[in-house]
Amino acid sequence: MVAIEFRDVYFRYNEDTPWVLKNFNLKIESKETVAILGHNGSGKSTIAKLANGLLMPQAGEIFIDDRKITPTNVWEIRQKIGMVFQNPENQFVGTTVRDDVAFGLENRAIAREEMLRRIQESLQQVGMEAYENHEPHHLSGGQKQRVAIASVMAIHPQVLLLDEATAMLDPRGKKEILATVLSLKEQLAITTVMITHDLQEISIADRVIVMNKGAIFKDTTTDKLFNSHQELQSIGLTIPLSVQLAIELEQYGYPFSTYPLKQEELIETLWKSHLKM
Amino acid sequence: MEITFKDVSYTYQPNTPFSHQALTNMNLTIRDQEFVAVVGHTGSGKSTLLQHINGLLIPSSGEVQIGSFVLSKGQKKQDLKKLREKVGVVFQYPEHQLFEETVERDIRFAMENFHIPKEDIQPRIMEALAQVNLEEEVLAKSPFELSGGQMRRVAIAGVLAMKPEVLILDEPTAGLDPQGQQAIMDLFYRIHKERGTTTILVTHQMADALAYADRIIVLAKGSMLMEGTPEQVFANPDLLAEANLDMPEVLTLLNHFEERFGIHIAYQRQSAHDLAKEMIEKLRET
Repeated sequence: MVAIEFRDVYFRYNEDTPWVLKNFNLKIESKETVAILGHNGSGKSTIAKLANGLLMPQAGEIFIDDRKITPTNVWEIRQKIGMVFQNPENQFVGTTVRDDVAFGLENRAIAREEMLRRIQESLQQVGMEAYENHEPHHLSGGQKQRVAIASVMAIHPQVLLLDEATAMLDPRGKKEILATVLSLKEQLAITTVMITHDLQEISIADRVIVMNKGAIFKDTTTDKLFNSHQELQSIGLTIPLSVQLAIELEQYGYPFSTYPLKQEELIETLWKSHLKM
Repeated sequence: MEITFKDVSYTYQPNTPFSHQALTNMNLTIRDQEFVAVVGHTGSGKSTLLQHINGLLIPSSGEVQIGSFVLSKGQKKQDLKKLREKVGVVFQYPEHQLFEETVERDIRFAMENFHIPKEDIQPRIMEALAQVNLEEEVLAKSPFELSGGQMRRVAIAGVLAMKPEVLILDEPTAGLDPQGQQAIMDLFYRIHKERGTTTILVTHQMADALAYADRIIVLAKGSMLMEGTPEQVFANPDLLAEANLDMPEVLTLLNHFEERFGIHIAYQRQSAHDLAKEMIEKLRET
């Protein structure tokens, strides 16, 4: 099944500004974990806002779970696609963690019994069940984002969409969120889309889409991404240190079948080649 | 300007149930024209420390000296404006503080407040704009028409136009893409070198502390856990882990390399190209 599909989509913010997306096509299958990568201004956040009907395209069609987004069904669509945004401070309405998760459920008129069950369930999914009665503003950045994810998961969406959800977090917060997303992927096999410019994050994705100037520049699997490292550098993306070193080491006759995102992989591959020499 | 903390403690909301001691007996000297990185986990006291340097906070006990200014509790009120003219602060997400109708007026705002002579203002705007790599065309635009990265540059230009002798940078690259981060750090480093500013960088990015700082100060729970050159500080991974901090990527990689091959490579800010070359040379020797 197709979770998200963009068909010949055109979008611009104003009539006198250039197209942000021009004849844009994208298909994300259900249960995929996809990272959308690109520098600031490449159009990646616009994709997120179009996917849940915060913006409407000037031309073309967008389908979520095989249903076309229209102004009349946009509320229904938002039930299918849960979004977590960049700034953890801007996403809280409740005075306790529990109230906050309850907010989205109340809006959808979920019965109380079911609501209590879902709050428990979603807080457990993100490992925040011990904080049910805490005030959100006393939590760390990573914890706040986990609660934001729980609020989204409580709605039982088909797609979880994270729009630079780790950009404002410290290194520990980033790790917490990655671990949470990975565990949701394993527990629930939910379709996950991560919009990011952090190369650490793509390590948990199966597929990577690189955006440049409003178009798909590369659509590939995570382990093959850096095979085209020169092209990626040409559009201003930074190559991780382990990949940079692997590229250099190849010049000296140490082969890499895939470029390593993890340091351990780099060292192990180097070690194996070294033993053969 | 030299900055000295002498037995500085600071308590938020003293004598209330919410009382919280954020700094405890801090002793610290930052030399004139030094580049110091302050690192520490969220809540370690970094921001409290910074706010003492431009007089936003006055020590609950002890004394802070910045050049000829002395800040201590009970001292008679002095003109903090003079201090703030010399100490430029780039707060976190400084673009959130833009408010004027045009970029030019935003950059001009602080200078007018500090009564910079009228004839100096325009040249300073142009100079600051060039330093942050923005085109003259943006001056007439509303800051809110610009991209996030450009807005941040405008906010930084407003600080640089004041020609501060001390630059305080509170996570200046947070939220930018990797290229934007690099550009902003290079910009500050250039200004640090060209103008001889005393620069204090608060960061979560250990790679930046390693790349730019003469000295690193590690805070934990409101006290100094460690200080020294990047080489000294990062030679203590266990202590860093205690402060919930990571090692810079390049150093963990070299450690992995050493564990596997028994070969030590000292990091001296080599490029990936030079590191690979050194690895190969040493591998071939064995």
